Amino acid sequence: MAGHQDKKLRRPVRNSSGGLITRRKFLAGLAGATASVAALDPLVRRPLARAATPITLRYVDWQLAEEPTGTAYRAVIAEFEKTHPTIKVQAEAIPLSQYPTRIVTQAKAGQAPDVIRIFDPWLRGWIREGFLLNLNPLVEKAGGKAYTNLFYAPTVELATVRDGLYAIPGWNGALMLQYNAKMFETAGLDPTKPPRTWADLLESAKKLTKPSAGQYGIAIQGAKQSSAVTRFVTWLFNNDVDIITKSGDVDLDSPRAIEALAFWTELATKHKVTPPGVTDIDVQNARSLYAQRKAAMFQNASNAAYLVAADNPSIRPEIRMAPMPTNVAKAYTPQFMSFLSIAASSPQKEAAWELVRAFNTKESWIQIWRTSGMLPARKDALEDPELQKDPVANATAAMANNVKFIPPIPEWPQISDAIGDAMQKVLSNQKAPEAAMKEAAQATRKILTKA
Amino acid sequence: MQAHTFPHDASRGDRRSTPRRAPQALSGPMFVLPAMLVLALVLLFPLAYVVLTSFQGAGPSLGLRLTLANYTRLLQDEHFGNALWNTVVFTVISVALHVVLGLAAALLVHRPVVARTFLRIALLVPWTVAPVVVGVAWKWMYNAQFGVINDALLRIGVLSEGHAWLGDATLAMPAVILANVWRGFPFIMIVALAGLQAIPTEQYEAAAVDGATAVQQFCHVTLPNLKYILFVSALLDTIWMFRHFDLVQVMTAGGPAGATDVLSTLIFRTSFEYLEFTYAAAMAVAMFVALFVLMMVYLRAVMRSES
Repeated sequence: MAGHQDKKLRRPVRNSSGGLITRRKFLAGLAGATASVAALDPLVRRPLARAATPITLRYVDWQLAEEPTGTAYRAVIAEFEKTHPTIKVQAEAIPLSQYPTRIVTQAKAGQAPDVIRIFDPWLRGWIREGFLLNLNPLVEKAGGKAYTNLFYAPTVELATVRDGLYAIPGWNGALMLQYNAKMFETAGLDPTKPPRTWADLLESAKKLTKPSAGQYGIAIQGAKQSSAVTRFVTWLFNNDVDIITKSGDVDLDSPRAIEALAFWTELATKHKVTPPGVTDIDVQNARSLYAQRKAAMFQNASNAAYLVAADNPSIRPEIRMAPMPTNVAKAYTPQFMSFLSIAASSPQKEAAWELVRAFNTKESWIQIWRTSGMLPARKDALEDPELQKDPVANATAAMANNVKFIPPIPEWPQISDAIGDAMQKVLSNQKAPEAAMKEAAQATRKILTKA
Repeated sequence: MQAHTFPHDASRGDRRSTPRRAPQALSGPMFVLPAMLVLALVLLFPLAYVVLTSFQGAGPSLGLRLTLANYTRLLQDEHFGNALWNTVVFTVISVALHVVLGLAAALLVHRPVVARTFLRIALLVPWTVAPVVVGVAWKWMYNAQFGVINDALLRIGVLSEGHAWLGDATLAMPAVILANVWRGFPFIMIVALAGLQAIPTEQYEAAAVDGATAVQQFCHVTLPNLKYILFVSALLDTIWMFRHFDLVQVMTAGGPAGATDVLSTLIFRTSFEYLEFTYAAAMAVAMFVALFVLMMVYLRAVMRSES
């Protein structure tokens, strides 16, 4: 047996030229080759390491194409690159209209950008599809609860699914009633007393409407656009409608929901206090009407005041803001916000996390606010004395306790379309508010059942 | 008629020549093989992938469990039914108007009119503009507050206030079709013009000698000569219009309340906004089947003409 083993050990191996070499010689050669590679390793590895060291992170944001926000964000990136010399940020601006399409396509192909800015209505769907990274391990390293507590709790909850945090809150805005103080004065209204109730609003809007001069009380948005629906949701919230109640019931065909749609549409169809063609008015259009003084009031995110002033600098001293008028005791606003997240497919998660954190420091946010007026969801930044002097920041902070979220479910885009159809059907006299809301409620129930 | 053969070819036909001919016979297909492989990769693979996706259930992970659920849902989906009907309306009216206007424009620029070259170029311009640009331009022209159409109608007293053409459920589809007709008729014009130029003048002269009026000449000389070319170009146009997307998406995104929602806008929304990829794939397959039928009709017509 032992002899057999010896024979086996001494069995010759053929070399590359077909000659025979012994196993011992073969092993000796192998050892020599290994030693040579080991000796060469520093020479080989160093240039490789040098070539691989500069990491390039892809960061996408629709606001990079919007000024002055783009300038503010690029300044944060420049500062980040200074403090992280091995990381280069490739900032990509994709216009908002193409944003979800392009990101979804890239994510489906496993080639999503490393760091992605996300609008809150897209968040749950993108989490469900597995596009976004569960940030828990990275957050734990950054302090866990101590880090997430820096942000307003409801905003963190919005990005949390089954205990996993998928995005870090970015900017934050409340939908407010923006009105023109000078136009109020001219119409005999007190600009320090903006309308508080729906009845006040209608009365003020009637006084402000002068069709012969091309001037109307309020620009409401009825175009087929998800952000137009988000604005209408304020009217539902301000008539005590929750869309989907805590028990999971659909509230869209309740008498209060029908009343809200009826009041909102009658501003155009019955009272004619809105510019004509409401079904054609989208968010940008409404902003232009307000900026050109064709509408005395409109509804937009608080920080949009800066965009209005950019559209027409002469209107800046006339801009005022107030909570949206309500038909119940309290005025609510849907929270409007963005998040920063990391793609699940990102090969450089640690570096991406560094960039996410750099965007969300208190100093970064104060700098961003100084340049662009964007308001942070980070508490210590929003509550900074410098920001508290800003009327826009003040108005947003004042609404902090009156915030309601649109249902944080992946099916929201479909439900939003169902509500949008109801709005448009009533505005174009195809359906009565009751029938339209019943249809929207039925569609919503069907969507939720499927889910 | 006998085929011409070179003298040295006479020796061919023996067994030895066969192996030499075989590589020559293969060389043609071998040259096109790489291109065919690339085409198969970029055309057939995505198609097969979409078909496979359409038979899978909803959810982020695509397993290999196949189901007909998406197709069953398709049959019950009123949004799909609405979009299909809108697509047919959009396609039929657009193509009909493209043909009528295109032919009329071709007849106009075929005649020796003043500034004929300029007219031909000017009429061709809409075809050269990207559909997205056309969509944005017409959207602003229709705008209730700032649009030039409303402004003109207000000035001449037809309207008392701006009208939201694209926000009106009854008028939105005609408004979108009008923009699409403006953009698309030059294609038919160019094709019909080429056809008109190929008609022998003797046929018109003979008709004139027989006392045919201009209308009779058009009906009995022009139209029969253009019949085939118009049929093929209308069929091609039908295929393009059936899958038209950009103009509708930019102008109305399918609104108001689904009045202009066509199959391509619905598929886009289902896929990229609702993130229902498998269901959107089923819709795309259904659309492909309809287009495939049209394509077969087109190919049959082309092959018949060639034979």
